[in-house]
Amino acid sequence: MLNLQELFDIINFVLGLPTALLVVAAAAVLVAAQDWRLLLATLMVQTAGLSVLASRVMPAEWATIHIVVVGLIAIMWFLSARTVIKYARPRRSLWRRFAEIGTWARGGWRALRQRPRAAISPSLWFAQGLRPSFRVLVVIIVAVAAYAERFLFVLPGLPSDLSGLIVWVLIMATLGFALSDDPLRVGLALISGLSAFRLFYLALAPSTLAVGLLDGLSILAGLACSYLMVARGATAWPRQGEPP
Amino acid sequence: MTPFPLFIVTLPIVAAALVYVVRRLEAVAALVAAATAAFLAAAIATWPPVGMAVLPGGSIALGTSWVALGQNFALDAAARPALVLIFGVAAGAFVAAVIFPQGRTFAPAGLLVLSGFAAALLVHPLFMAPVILAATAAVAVFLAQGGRAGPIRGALRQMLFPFLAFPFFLLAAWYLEQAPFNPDDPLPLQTAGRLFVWGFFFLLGGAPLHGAMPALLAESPPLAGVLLVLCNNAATLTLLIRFPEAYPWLTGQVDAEMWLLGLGVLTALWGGAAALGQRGFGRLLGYAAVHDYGAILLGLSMQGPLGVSTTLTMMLARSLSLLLGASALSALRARMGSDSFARVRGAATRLPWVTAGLLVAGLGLAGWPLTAGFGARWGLLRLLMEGQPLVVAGLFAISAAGVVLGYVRGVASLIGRIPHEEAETNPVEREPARAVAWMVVFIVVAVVVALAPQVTAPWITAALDALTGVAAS
Repeated sequence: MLNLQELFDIINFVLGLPTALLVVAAAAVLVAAQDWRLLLATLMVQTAGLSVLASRVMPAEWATIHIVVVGLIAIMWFLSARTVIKYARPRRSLWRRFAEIGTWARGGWRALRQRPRAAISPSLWFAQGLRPSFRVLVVIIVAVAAYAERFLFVLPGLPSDLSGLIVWVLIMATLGFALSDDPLRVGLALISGLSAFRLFYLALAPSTLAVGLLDGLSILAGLACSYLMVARGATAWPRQGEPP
Repeated sequence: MTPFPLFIVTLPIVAAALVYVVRRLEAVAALVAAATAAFLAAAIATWPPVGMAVLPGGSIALGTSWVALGQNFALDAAARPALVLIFGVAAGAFVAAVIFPQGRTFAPAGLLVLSGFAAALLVHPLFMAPVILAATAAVAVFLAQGGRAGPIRGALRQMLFPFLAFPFFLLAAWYLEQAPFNPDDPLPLQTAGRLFVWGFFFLLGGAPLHGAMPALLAESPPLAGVLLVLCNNAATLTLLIRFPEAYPWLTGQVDAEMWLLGLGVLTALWGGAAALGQRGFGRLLGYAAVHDYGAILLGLSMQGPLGVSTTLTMMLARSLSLLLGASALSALRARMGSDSFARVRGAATRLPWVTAGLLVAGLGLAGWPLTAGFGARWGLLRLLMEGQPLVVAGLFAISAAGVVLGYVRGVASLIGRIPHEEAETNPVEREPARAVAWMVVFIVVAVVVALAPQVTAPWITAALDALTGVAAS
């Protein structure tokens, strides 16, 4: 029976490069993507990838703890986002839903797609974040710049491939902070940056106290962002007595 | 016997649990919180450094430290002034919350946050303080948001910068540990110095990272925002003063005077310029506070006891002005439903003392004569003119003019007549008597501090005694 360290070693040996590439892609997707479900799934993918790679420089148990911590945070955020959406969406009666199915049956997919979109004021649009196309453009520009300066990305106490990876995740986290004021996006950037810093710091100064402190801070930040997501989303809930 | 640092950290947590139970009775909760904070402020200020204090529930060992999670928590002389200020300001804010309700979460969350700031000021080694400040900032989100649905920018931004800062301190500490292994190599100390500077850059929250301050005062319950701003300022500035004592080599690696001067001028200018164009009293108070914070950073850049005493005086005046401003802002929002210039037209006729409170607070933050901030500002201007090129003092004076003009615009919107139809359909109630009493007391205190700054001298001298050795080094 394999123990945790042996399992992570085998994954590192067989899938080391693909895992690193997956983390690079996930960090970019966290900045560029729009859909909150995709963002949460990507955060978990990035955390799992980082934890697998982290087992090269720290005990596998410490790496696994981080997956559990970020998993808890992702569950908190998922529940917050679901709560916001559940109460913000206008409630539709059963007959109205049947009528929509009838519309779909008559006009097909095209008719459903051509429904008028809800108008969004420019300020609201800006507050909700920049458009994905612009985010992708920024990520590409930053990626090119980072690739050109990749020889500068040397961190003490880490192998060169992990150094580059950590710096890339930190750069993407910084972009995440810079491009949005939305608690989910800022929270994603924060947890992502903390994960990268945790890997770096525990490789430099391994201690159980540091594991506890950094994971504790991650949970606190996750909880705070979760609360802010509901506080912000609740403005979209219909008030009592207000027609949906 | 309970070690004093453990008592300081845990008493607010225990009180928070108690206050949470009675949170629906907002006035009772605020009074219990105020009593707790006032008791701690008085205890820290008056109890001797060593010995024993006997309380009904047990005795407290005053000179002993407390070890938790491998960290040592001890009450240094240098931490006392900041702790007294933090708990004193909190006591004032909680009493004000009895008159101007701030929401049910204010008292319990405020006490929890106080415990975090106290722990950050007590911890040794000092590089662990930013980690505790980051944890405190995450808890402070609940205080800043105050259980309201709505804008979250203030709460989010105040959390963000401590989280960005603490990794720099942890890495700097690691580099410091490496330095003895190769004493001839200056690189670890240089790197540690640079990392400390970056850490403080994020932690201090000067321009251009000042975004939390105006957002907090514009969007959060005003007293909660002010409590957070003042506690954060006191904790981070004390850390900044104590670091050279803990790491004496730092003064050789970093030109602290230069970068504090630059940061102070930029922050004061930014605050002044932005205050000029605001359209609401909340954000205006926020930018006035940013400008005043720039002045405090300028004061700190004047190394030595004179600079520290100027900073302490400004910090005291800032606390008075911000508490008065937050109280007036709470009253204005409660009566008018908003603090935007367009919505408060004519309010001065119905709320004259609130108007006076807003004006005295704002002008105090700009250092206007006959307000709390005047004496310290005058001293700072003199120091700047003696020690720096004249252009620094000139830029600083221009930025203060921006804040004053911002308030002139604001007060111009308050003065005048309430539109006729509004006066008939939705008459504005007059300010309640206890709110008037609160404003009058604060305004009188501000004027007394301006006319006779020597009344604050005992506190300033005591605080300076605690800090002078540090500053002189």
